Amino acid sequence: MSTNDLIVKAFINETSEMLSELEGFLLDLEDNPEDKETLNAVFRVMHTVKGSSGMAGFEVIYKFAHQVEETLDNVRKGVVSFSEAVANKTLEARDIILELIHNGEEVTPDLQAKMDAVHDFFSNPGDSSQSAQPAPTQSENKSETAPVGNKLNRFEIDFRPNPGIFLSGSDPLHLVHELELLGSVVVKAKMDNVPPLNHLKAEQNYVYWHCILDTEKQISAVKDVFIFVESDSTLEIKEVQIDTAVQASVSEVAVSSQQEAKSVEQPEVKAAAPAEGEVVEAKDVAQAKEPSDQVNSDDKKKAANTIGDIIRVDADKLDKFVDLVGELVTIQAQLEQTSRKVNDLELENISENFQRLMEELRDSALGLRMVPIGSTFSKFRRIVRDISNQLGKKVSFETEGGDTELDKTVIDRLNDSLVHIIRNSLDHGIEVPEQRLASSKPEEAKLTISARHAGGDVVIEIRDDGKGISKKRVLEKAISQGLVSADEKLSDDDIFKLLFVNGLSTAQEVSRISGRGVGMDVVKKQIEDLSGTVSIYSEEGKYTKTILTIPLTLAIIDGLLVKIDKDFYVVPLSSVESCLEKADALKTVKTEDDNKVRKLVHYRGHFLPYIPMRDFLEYDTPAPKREQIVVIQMENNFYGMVVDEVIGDHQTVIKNLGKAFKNLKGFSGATILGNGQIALILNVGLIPHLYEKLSKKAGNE
Amino acid sequence: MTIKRLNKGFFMMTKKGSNKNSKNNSYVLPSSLMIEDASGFAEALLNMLCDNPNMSLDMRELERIDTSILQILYGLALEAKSVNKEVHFIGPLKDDLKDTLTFCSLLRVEDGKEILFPELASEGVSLEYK
Amino acid sequence: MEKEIKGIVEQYLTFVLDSETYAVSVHKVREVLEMVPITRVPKMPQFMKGVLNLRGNVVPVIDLRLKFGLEEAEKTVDTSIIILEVEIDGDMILVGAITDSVQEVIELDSDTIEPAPTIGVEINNNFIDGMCQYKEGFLILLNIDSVLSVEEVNILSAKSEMLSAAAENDNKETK
Repeated sequence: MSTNDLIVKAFINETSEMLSELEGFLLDLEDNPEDKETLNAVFRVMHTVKGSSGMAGFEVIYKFAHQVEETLDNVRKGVVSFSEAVANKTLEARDIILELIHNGEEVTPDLQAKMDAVHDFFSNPGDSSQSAQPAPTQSENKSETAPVGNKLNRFEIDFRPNPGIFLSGSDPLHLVHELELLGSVVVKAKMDNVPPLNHLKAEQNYVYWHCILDTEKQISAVKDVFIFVESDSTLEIKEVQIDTAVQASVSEVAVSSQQEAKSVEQPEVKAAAPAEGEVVEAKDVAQAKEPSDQVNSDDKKKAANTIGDIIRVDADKLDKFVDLVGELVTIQAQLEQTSRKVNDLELENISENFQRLMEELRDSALGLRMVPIGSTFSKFRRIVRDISNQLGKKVSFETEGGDTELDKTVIDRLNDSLVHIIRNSLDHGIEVPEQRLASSKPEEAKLTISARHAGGDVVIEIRDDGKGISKKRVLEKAISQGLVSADEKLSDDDIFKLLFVNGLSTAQEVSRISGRGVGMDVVKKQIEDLSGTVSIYSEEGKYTKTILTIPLTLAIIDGLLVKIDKDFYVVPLSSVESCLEKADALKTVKTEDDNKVRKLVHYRGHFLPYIPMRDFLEYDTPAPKREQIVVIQMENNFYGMVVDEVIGDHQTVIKNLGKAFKNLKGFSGATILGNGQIALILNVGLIPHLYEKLSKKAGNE
Repeated sequence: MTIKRLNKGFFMMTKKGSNKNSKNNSYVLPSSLMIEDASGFAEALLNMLCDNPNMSLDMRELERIDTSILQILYGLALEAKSVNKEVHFIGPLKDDLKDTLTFCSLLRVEDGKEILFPELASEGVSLEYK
Repeated sequence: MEKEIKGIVEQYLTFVLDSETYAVSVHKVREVLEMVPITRVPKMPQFMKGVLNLRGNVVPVIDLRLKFGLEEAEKTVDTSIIILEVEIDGDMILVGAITDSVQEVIELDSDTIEPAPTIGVEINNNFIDGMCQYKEGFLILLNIDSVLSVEEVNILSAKSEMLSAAAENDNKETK
């Protein structure tokens, strides 16, 4: 790969990332238009996108971003106020840039039209608050005695670049020169940190500067000069008051120093700033950073932004790595089995050490793929905003547990489902403001998405306070479609489960956003593909919530190996509560509700239902005399699973069963055991459900 | 004039003093000095300083000066002063850099004589325009 | 060889099931294995024997005899599993096919291949690409993609899904 390719690739990666940040900033800003920090962040992103696109040779983006940046700059300066229109157009601009990046700047007519629209807007942001002069902000009108029309502000700037600043390709001297463009400036280069030549490291910076700047510009303009080195330096900008007399003299000094360098006397310059005590605004723009940074050039800004050093790795490489670790786990299991057979103490020791290391390696390998789900959440903000605007609904979107980590592959595959559920909520769940007010709810609806860990699973909950789901309507529809017979009694749970059946949508009209009757069944399929479960709870008129339970990772799990007949099966250890002897645990109980005599598992004072796995898995060989029961916990439900024998823990590398088995339910994959034999992995969340249907069917026949 | 290849790919032009007896060796700095050259440059300067009791650096070809070069020059002046040697700078630089405030802030005139790095002002460090 | 070759010559792998000889294009064949242990996958149609471990990959296995409605045979030393590359839903997947024995790789001129007769063959006509003379008898050229097509592979016992059964009823009603 050529250097240029690398630059382009880095540009694409970095810019895509920045653009998704930008989206978040813009949405924040809409909520809170006065937030200067965020506004600056927005500006900074656009500025950087412009700069790096120019560097990477993306001319179209460069020109486009330039214009957006200019408008944003005016917003920052208060010339143009931040309006919804600006936000919309900036978001559009962001989307256009993203598209340009990914299609290699191929400007389709469609894209051109979009660009023109944004272009037109930004060339005349048409804002009522627009005025010819930069609107004076803050308390800058103090020195109204200033003789000339435009008053001068004086800033004392103490600029101390970090030793490593050269490595990021910046020359601090340039920045100092840039100050000259703002007004008259007196610069003093401080050389006292420079060591003797034989100790001097040429790649390190020792110089710092003290400058006094008289300018008509505001402090923000001064800060902008240093915008790219903030994280690489200590910067202090003080605004000092000047009385007119001194002002004149300083200007003279400054001017003379510019014209005739010979006569400048440094100490006097410093003395010429008289009002040192009266600091109008003092702000640390950047915090001191440890000088020991060895991070290479361009990554610096990045690292500074995200706290801690981050290395970008190709997802494919990572997947390959995790796959290899998976293979190693299999080999390790073989080694363990062989070493036990050989009965050699030394070999067993090696095997045990290997196993310990392997577990550690496995955990850290899988940890590499864990990413916080928050980045996905923040994407939804845009969706919520756009759709609710489109539908004329008022929605406040909240996220919780964005730092919950989940396997990257899982997150990627969750995305569509989550989008679908959110769209459903916005479209069908949440009412228009009038309707909400009429049912004495706050005008603004609340949509919350949250994530949390629960054992080896992550639970994601999407909740809205909309009109809920009418059980009656669901039932009617199901009956009319022949899914349920009219006399059948269904629990609430069962009714909500009907929502996942293909073709059942209770929306009265099909809308553009959702509600074509395909949807929740697809969601269910996607979640089940991830070995997860999905359920809906709702109270009519109050809320709807959708709960997804997803395993943390798709690659390797801790499993419990069980044996049935000659075959082995794996139960995810995270759902195993305990193991019991069947003979001890099984009790005959007379249940109260229907007075039937049933056999239940007695476990810690509770009676649990159980599933004979031989029945479920359709074995017709006789069961052994002694069977065992694995107590499974799913969320708050427990059940027993009767197996021939519990073998023990097993590091399970999950293999997909593939398309040939895509309709097979009840298994979440397969794994290869130490002896080369294949064991199927049981999807313990689905099994009770499937078993129930199986027995119902058997009962009917 | 000879062109000397120094460490790390750095080139420097050497101009022998016109008078053979002159102790003064004059070095012409190449027009562009980049950060990549800087450590080679520093090392070269140090070697030259060892070889010469007096040396002059001709900076007129230099198109721009960056912070790393600036501090190397300062380091050289510092070094020269500490070992009682003389460094004479010829410059400063091209016209557009002549009035660079930063650079000028490093100059001082004493007794009609320009000095680079006033803090190091002594007979050992001097600057002249040509 | 005096016979002029007019069509395109392609290579086929021949194998025996019961008394018939079949052939599949070598392009479809990944490799041939001896009989190996197969792990049963519950709730699948009978011809779906389960899965085997192909150097760390989990590969589904079908018994072609059962698929073609023949009696399951005792496994012998000759029993072989042909690992085939099959297209399902546009994706290439590996499937193992249990056969009585694998014979040889032969070259066939496409001109010598005749369309499948509509009668006199025990197996589903859709599975056959054509027939041709071979030694004293004839060869049946299998279209392995249709033998293992989505519908064929995914015929599952309806037991697992009450709701899918309901959906099927739906379909019938609409027809």
